Amino acid sequence: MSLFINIQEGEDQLPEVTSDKGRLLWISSVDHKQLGIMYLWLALFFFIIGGLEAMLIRAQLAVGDNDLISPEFYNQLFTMHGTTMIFLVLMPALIGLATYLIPLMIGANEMAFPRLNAFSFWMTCLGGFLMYFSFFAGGAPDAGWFNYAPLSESNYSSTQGVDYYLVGLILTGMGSIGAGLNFVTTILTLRSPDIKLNMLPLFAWMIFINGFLILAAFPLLNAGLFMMLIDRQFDAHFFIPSSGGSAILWQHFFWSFGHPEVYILALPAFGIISEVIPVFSRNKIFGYKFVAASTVAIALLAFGVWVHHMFAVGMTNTVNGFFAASSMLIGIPTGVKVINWIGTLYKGSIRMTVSMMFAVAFLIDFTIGGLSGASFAIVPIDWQLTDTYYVVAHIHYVFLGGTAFGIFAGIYYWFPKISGRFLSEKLGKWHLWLFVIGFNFTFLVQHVLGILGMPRRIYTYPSRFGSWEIFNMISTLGAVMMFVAIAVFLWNLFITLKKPRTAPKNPWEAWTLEWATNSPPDLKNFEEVPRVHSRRPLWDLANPDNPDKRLN
Amino acid sequence: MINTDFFITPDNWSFAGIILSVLVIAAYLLFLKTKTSQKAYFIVTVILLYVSFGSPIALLRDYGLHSLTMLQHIVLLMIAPILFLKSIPSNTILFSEKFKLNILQQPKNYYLMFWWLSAVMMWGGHFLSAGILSAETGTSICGITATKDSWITAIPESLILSLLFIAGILFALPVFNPVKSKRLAPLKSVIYLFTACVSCSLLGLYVAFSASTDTLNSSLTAFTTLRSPVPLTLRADQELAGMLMWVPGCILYVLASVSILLSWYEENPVEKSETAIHTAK
Ligand code: HEM
Ligand SMILES: [Cu+2]
Repeated sequence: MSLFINIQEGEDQLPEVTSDKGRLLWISSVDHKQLGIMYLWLALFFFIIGGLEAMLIRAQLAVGDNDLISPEFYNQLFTMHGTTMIFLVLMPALIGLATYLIPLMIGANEMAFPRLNAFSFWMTCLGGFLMYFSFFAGGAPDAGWFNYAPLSESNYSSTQGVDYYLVGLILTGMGSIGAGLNFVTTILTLRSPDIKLNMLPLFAWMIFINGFLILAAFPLLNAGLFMMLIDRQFDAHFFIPSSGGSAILWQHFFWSFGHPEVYILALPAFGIISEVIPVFSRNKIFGYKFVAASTVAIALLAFGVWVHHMFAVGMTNTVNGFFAASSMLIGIPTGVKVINWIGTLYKGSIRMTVSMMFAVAFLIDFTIGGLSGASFAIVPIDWQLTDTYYVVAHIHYVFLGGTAFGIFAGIYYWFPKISGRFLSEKLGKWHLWLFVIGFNFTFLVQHVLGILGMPRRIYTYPSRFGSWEIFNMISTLGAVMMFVAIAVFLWNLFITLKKPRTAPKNPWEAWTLEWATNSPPDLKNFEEVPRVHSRRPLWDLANPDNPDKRLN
Repeated sequence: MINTDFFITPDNWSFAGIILSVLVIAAYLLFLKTKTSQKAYFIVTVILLYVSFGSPIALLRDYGLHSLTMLQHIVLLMIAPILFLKSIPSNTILFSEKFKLNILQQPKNYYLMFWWLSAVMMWGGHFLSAGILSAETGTSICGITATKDSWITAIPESLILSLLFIAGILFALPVFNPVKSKRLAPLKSVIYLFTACVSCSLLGLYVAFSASTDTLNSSLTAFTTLRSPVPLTLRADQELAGMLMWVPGCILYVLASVSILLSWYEENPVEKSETAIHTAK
């Protein structure tokens, strides 16, 4: 039985990009490369906004007893910062890279559903801008990125902010579901006939698995969001305990989405790292099958651990105990991957490009984040540290030191392919060092702050807590370094994009199919797809006398 | 306090069960030529069955422990069948061409049926057992109450358990068929197992989170469980039952999926068809 039916699209139905219509045609584009690039711009735009919000937060917290910002506005800031970074920066950046690269990696000329692809992008865009419109409509959402009930219900959040949050996330959620469906279908149906599923590049494999995760997780979020919208708009009380609802139910909805979501953001980054490290170590990935299979294990286990976000809501030891165990178990497949990446580096002839350096920074900082995660999978430790800055440190080590470093590694790696130009390595190194050092300054000390008992989301703290003030100041200074790093990155982008296109097809001597196309690829990616017999087709072409083991 | 005496009293270990287990193992070792790993699988299967039926753990059931029933179900439906199939040599008469039972010949053609059968058995078996337990002990189990003389008590528990074991074997057959060539394709197997895992998770979730928190007698070590050697409140007992099904139950299928995938990644159809030609010659 074949898993799909081939439905032929009519030849000329889809609008085409022609040069005489200029930039405007991007709006109507259904080309996966243009959509991918637009996702990346969108992510960059919101990254700047979310970054400015973070700078305001850090400015407010730099010293004790500070009243630079009002408490109300502070709540809006951290809510929008978290929501923006997760749903409007990391998601679009990863989906954008995947939208751009997946067809190229599997020898296809388009995504399976080009119009759905455009729809997904525009939904994400609309959701994001709608959410930001709330600032002009009486105040942004202010109940935290996870929007706990009953705080988020109308009697406690009486501005329209939370409604904007709900509708905005429903829209971006629909976009993500569309993207997930598109990835899965594209990879199942549009691979070049040579490529069997077990020959996919690791990035493509992880996006494939991620597609299923998205399809399973986002509907849970959207269901919860709709229910809360009904609560707020039509006076229902799904999540209002005083009239028979259950506030805990919201937490279940949110985290049964939320924990898979953290892996939805981690897996594509793992995929990027699994492409970058081998290429710059001149080594085949060590243990492909373990990296790939552990991805599946992570995806399946991801749905069995969410209650670790709720250890403090008063469940019994029985329930907590099992979720502690499953949470620690999910660390194992992640650890397997780290070992394989290190194994790939071992005895490689390493080229320390900026991309590679970000990958190494990822390895170190993501591992720290995994360890802090494992530490509060232990229930009593979690009771002590939950809702403190320790959680903030954990989140940032996995999302910023993990996912975002992965994205930067990917951007520096694929930039020549996407734009035909090389980002400056010199500025890149400034960006890298400032960012990595600033990052560790900012967040390493937050572990200590958490242990000292500083709650997350507080607007200010008494300046007589001397050590708090010192650590917070360090944290803020680190944030300033990251701010400068991003300015360098933007400058790098700006001057690079003004240069002429000089990148050859395969500047890094990489091995996957996207590097067989022009840089940037033509509107039709491949006139002719090279024959593929292993996971490294371009290696086989370059080394006919020493090809990889044949897999088809 | 857990009463350890209960577990070390020889009377609570079924002697007949030990004899039977030894005999079965001896027969297996004598009559079947198998690999060492298969022998190990078989011995573990028998030990598991003994522990869940002949050991003091099985006797805990009489104290109305819901979690214990769940443990038995997991062993019978999910763990033992897989180990059992792994221990059976591929030339066993049951699976050979001579034995003309199509269901066993080509079990993979029936995989949807097997999937549903085992899902129905899992949910149905669980609720029936809960009902019987409730009738016997007078407690409410998983929201189910049955009176002392309810029709449900007419169903022998052993019938449910045997049916569970059979359903478990049929479920595992498409994926763990001793004859390799008759197994489902690797990716199909993974989906097959994963969807089953979802079904287990849902049952586990339902059982764990429907544990009642509001009645006094659920939060006290009340009635029957008070005398139990492993005193659990009704609530803890039920949560334990659900979590057992959910977490270890699910991880079992995750592990199985991963091991299937690990060999699939290295699979090469060219080599495979070549060896097929060789053996055909
Ligand atoms: C070794 C694996 C991991 C374990 C055991 C783990 C465990 C935990 C636990 C127990 C919490 C709840 C802390 C609390 O609120 O009291 C938590 C929070 C969080 N984790 Fe992890 N984690 C792991 C890996 C990751 C990864 C890989 C990511 C993302 C890529 C991640 C993202 C998050 C986020 C975003 C939160 C905070 C949610 C919030 O309260 O705002 N974690 N983690
Ligand atoms: Cu989590």
